[in-house]
Amino acid sequence: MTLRLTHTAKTYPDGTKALLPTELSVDKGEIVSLLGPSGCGKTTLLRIIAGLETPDSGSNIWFDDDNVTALPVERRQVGMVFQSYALFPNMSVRANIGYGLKMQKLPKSEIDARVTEVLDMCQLQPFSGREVTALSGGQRQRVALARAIAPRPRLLLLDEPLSALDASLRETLRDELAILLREFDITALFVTHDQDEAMAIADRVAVMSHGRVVQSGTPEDLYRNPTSSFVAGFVGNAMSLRGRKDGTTLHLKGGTLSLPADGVGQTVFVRAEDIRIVESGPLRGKVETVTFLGTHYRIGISGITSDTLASIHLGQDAPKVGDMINVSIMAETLMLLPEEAGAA
Amino acid sequence: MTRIIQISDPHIVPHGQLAYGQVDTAKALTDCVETINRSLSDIGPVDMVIVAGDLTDFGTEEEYQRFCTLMEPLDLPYRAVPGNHDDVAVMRKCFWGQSWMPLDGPINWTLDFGDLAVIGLDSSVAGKAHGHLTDETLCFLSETLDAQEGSPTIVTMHHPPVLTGIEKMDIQNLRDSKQLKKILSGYKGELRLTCGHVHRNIVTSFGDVICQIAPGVSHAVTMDLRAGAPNCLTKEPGGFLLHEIRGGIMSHHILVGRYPGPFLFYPDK
Repeated sequence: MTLRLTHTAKTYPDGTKALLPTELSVDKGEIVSLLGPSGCGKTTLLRIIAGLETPDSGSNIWFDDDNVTALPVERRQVGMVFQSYALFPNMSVRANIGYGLKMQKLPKSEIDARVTEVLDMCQLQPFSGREVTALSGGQRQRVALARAIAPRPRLLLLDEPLSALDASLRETLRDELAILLREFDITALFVTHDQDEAMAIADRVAVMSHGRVVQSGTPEDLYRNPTSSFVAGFVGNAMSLRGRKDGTTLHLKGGTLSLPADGVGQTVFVRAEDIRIVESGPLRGKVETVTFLGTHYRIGISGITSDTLASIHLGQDAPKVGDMINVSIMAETLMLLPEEAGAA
Repeated sequence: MTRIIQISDPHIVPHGQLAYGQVDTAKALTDCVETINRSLSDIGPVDMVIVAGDLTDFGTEEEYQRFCTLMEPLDLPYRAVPGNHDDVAVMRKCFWGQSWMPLDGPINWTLDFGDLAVIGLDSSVAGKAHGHLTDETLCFLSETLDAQEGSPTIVTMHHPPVLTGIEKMDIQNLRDSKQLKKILSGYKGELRLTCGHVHRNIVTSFGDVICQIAPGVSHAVTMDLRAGAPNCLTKEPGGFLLHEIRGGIMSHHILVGRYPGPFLFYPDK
């Protein structure tokens, strides 16, 4: 199913604009993530699509050729997955998955067939007779997903499904979720505030800020070609280089850099992997922190710009705290983005 | 014919304590259980007891254990939804493994007897006195109601979504109830919303449905409708509700305790 929103907005009675007029489409089988900080409007958008929130008049929500804007939540055939799985402990995996179907009073043969189908899809067949309390966190997530898709929803909505998990489990389940959603071949919308989660799971990420979608694209596209300071900072933590711009030259506290284009009226951003510690280079700074992270060091450098810059350093050894070091940044790795009023 | 007893707000405190320094809530619950057991021969059979929240006063494990112990003599199975005085995590632990208790998330459940279904919803907000239904709970409600296809249904939650005029309770009612009203009003069959929280038997309309607030099994919140009235309790007799299908959903109010009678109106006839 294709999801399409046209001119969809939400204004609260007190005048708060939770969602500014938004256009969004999600293709059949596409997995789109709504990514943004709390209060950006992503949850409002999800609630509007689910039918839990009435949008402003003029808004239109299309499921293929059906305009569902006025349809109540129970008529939209939407599957929802939340933080909690809400599984019943005294029931088998099979009974948990079939619970919703049983409530819908489908014939037993139909329930059995559908449950078997999703058990296979989620590789839960060996556990079908077990109680859910005997399952691992990953297996429980699969049961919750299997239950959500068993009624054959037209669209799957996931509301921060991983955010209650501890960090180690979250990463494993994130990768598993990405694989399963593709296996289901279902149109899915996934709300998260975690950029890593969005990048790992989604085909396309819609970054939201202050009630609007500010940029939408593949994870690579957002990372490499952000169109705003907000996206550069929020996706991949790009750092701004604050200094005086003179045409294609940037004068920083710690030295001078060449810019790939005229920098006047632009904010210059750089990513940590593009800050190189070298024998001799145009910039000079002082090592403030050294963090060993296994695959690389993360070095905090002061004195180049007003904030401490982070550098990802791949060498076998690292400079020491307090060392003065030279730094180079290739001009083509710098990102020039329009200056934003009030942007940090 | 399915019959359900609804009790509410037992507010059990640790052994040897009085709730608010005033009320022996354990005795009240014991009397309630005794009243239910004694009445069964006259009003039964009854299929299930539902507890509409505030099982305990502070949500501690000790209080839940005491609640369970006091409920043990009850001749009927029971299940519960949490209120603002409950702690969902501790309550889950205490009722772990019961058929109605989900492994995580809000304590929502369904009970379908064929001629009558009961949907229990978790309206509690951790650390707050007021109520709220999460998106997850609203989705659970709409899905579950949809599956009932118009068959008579009771929806039970602790916090009423209405204002009763008792100011100190009204400021902690169910907030953001617009979506709830929409979902309930859209139901194509008989639907009753039953709550607790106010410790008084109150009936009103909520959208297209009847909203019934159950009396407390113990003390009452003082009937004082003046603006700025103080937050008080009164030791009125406890009570509970008997819901049954009699034409439609009928709810009887039964007082806890023993009272003189029954007397034949016309003993000579």
